[in-house]
Amino acid sequence: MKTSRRLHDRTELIPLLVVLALFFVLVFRLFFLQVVRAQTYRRLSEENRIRVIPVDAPRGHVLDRNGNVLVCNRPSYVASIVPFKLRQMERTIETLAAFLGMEPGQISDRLNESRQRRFEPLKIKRDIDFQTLAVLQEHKLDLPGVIYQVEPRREYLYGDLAAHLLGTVGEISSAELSELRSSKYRHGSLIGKGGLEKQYERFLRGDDGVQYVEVSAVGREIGPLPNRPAMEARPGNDLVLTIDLALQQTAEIALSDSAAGALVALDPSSGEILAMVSRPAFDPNLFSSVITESTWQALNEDPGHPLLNRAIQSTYPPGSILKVLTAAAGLEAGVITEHTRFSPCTGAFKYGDRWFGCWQSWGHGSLSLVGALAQSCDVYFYQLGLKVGLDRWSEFASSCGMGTALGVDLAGEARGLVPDREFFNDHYGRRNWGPGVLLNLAIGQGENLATPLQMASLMAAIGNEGTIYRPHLVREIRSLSGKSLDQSPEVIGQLPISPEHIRLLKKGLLAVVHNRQGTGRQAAVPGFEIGGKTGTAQNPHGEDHAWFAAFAPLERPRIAVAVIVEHGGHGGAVAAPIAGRVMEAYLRGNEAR
Amino acid sequence: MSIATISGRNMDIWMVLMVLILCGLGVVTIYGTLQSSEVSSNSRLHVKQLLWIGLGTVAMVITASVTYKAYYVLAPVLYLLSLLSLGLLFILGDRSAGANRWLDLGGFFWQPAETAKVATIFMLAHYLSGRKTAGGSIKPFLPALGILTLPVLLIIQQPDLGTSLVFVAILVAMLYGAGMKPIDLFLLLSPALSVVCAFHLVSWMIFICVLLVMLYLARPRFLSTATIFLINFAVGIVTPILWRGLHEYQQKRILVFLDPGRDPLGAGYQVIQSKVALGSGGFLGKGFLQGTQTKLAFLPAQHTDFIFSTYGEQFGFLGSLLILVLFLWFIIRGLRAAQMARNRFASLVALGAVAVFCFHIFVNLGVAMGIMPVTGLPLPFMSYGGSSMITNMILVGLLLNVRYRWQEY
Repeated sequence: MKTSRRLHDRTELIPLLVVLALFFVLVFRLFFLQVVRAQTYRRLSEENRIRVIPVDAPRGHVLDRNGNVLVCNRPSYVASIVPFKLRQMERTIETLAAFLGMEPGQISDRLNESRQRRFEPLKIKRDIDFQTLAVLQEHKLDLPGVIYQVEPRREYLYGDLAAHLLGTVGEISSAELSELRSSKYRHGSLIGKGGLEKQYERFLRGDDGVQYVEVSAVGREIGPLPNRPAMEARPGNDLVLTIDLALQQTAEIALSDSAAGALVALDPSSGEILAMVSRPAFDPNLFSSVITESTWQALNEDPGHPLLNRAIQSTYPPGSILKVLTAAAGLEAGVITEHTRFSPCTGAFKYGDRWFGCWQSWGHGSLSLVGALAQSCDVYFYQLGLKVGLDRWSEFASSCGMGTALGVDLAGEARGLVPDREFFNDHYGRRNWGPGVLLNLAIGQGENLATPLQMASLMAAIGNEGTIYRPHLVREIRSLSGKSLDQSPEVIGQLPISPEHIRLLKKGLLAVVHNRQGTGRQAAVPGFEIGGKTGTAQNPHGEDHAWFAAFAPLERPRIAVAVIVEHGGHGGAVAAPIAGRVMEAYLRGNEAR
Repeated sequence: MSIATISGRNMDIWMVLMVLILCGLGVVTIYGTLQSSEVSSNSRLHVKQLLWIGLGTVAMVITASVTYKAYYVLAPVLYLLSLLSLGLLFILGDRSAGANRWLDLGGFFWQPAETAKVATIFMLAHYLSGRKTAGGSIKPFLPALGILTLPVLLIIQQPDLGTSLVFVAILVAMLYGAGMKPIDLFLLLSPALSVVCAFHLVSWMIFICVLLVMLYLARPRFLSTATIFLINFAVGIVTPILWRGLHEYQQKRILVFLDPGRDPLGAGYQVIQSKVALGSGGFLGKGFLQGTQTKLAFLPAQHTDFIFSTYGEQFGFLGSLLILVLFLWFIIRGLRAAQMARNRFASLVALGAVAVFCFHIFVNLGVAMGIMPVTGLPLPFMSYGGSSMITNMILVGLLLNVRYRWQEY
């Protein structure tokens, strides 16, 4: 009996259609997930199970010219969070913050910063001490997703020694990260923030390695992935500096009494910088771990500007040191000879209706060039400047390299300034200045500006009979495989002074240190002939800056030094002894070697 | 009636075969989840599941053997007993865990809500088969609403939102089968829709407009119109207040369903991992025991609510399609039984059973595929669990029973 009399005919079609529609939705969705989006989900499942553990490459070391390590790395512990593994977010963050002595807000901010990278460990606090580490280990179960890693931490072995040139490292900022667009960096990477660390970043930074580890959902590591071998980290290159550690230490000590100032010592035969000090200084180790807001603020707002590298970034009127150039300009222009004498110095010089004083108010009497240099007689150089003329003087000073950055391998080198006719027209208006400005320029005051490095370089060039080398701090870049990149000396100019005139200048500079009446007698080093020049830079901020620049020995010099002590007073009394101590240390040290 | 008779010509042997294949795939998948790195290796759930299948099969055979006329007679008694067992949960239940769904029958844990499903189907069929419903009035159906409300209220207290909704599916299917017009069904269920729409003022306004149109089209008597409208209106106002009374985890589940990105580490985590498991399986799957989502325990509730995701990761789109086809075929055969039955009670029982399966399958798979909120409903025949396995087998027994005796009045 097949003619079934169905009770509910209406139950035939509609329920079937409903069921078919529901299953169609399921099949469609399944097709979308497992066929259309399969690749995406395959990747996600890989990411799920693979924890990519970045292995920080050790940064290259920094050594002095004799192979003494100045900057190295030491292992330190970092507390990190794998955001993906975080459970009970708020509570875990609060607990962790309490252990690390941080605000919970700081941690959540960091988590928000790297939203996309939920599988990568995110560094929360660097360089935690052993005690904190032990506490974290103890409360492991209350801190799901919190791990600790070992990372190399930058260590500046001599504290604030040479801090300004070595520079600092710090965690890369979001801005830097997006600007660099380099796969070499990720959140939490260290990057050079200043000094050589920044300048030679691409050499110092190695290539980070990667470890692939299979993990379970609760974060337990199952083991390394068989088909994905780890990528070894490649350490960065070592920098061998031109700095001489012993000399640098001497220089640091010699300048330690000064509140603010700078010192540069060069090798006149190559431009290699043997020592570079800037005061006040700071400890770059402070930046190596996470620098606290208050420390940063203190350093940044310190009226002494400890972060400023005065040796290359600050400019000062060079004072009487520039008389050497005025003298050379006169000799080269043929307006004077060794024996030319002007009106005797009576302590002041009348130009137009104005009196221009000499620093020695009772006067120097009649002097020839060597005597004028030795006693730094202003009146002599007023008259010489007038003979040379503004245009000739400006042009000569510029061709000696003044007013131009030397191109040292550090960022932020200042250019200095050689004022010329155009400059005065621009600044004072065409009719508002007279030839009187030249008097001040000729003795190195007025609008003249130069860096301590430029003064050291000038002395080095005079010392080596006229060659200007590019001052530099890195001698060699040494890779792990032993390959090295030598930074050979580079000649960037020649002083436009004939050899016999240079000899004459040297005679004058020697007299500065060795004559009974020389202004730089305090720089003398027994047993060595030293050429130098004192300077006393007038400035509107207070006491004069004390300058001294010198080279030694007189013939075939091995070291050229420039020292400035801000508001130190007379160069001969304050700066010359410092330069003397540094030169002595180097000359005697070299003898011993 | 002996087993020999029911295995005769009218026996739906295909349905039994499909059910057993699905059970078998379930056991295999459960075995796979035990290889997970985060499960203690000495649990032997697959063996236990085989035991449940065995017990279920016995239950199925017994259910299929007894003539449904007996169920018709026993329906009120069974219904009262199941209400009683649900009530017992209140007295014996340990509510410390926040949800209590099990009764301890001497080491054997039973979910009274599961038996209540069967009993309610019987009771509804008992009541609806005795009503003349051709007229088009809603009135004769209102007691059916009452029959349903009692167990649902008890279950929602447990609290088990998912299972409560199964009862609504049963009611809709059976009322429809009993001859209720779709428009009346809409009006009857309109308060529930009002609840859903009441979460947003605009959607609720639209709903009220649609309701008014429907009321105009159906044109029930004035009193009914007014009652329906007032109930809807009241519900729409009360809902936001009740919402605040919901368990936080229930609120969260609904919210996270609407916006899974809201909490990728919490409730949304399950759905994301389930989709990743399914999707990463691709067309052919990663291979048996090769599912990393499963093995490394990224996937939650692998052997219960998310068993399909575990399966889909290992056997891919093709394997998943096999399951869908088996379920579809099974449902169609169930519907066929309901259509063929000449007895109104039998037909309604079959329809109720099909509704239970449909709801479970669609919601469970929908959850696994990320198109449904996480409700915690097991997948029939495959998910691990004794109560649900035996209940499902009893329901299969009922379908076999109806099909076998289709000619009887």
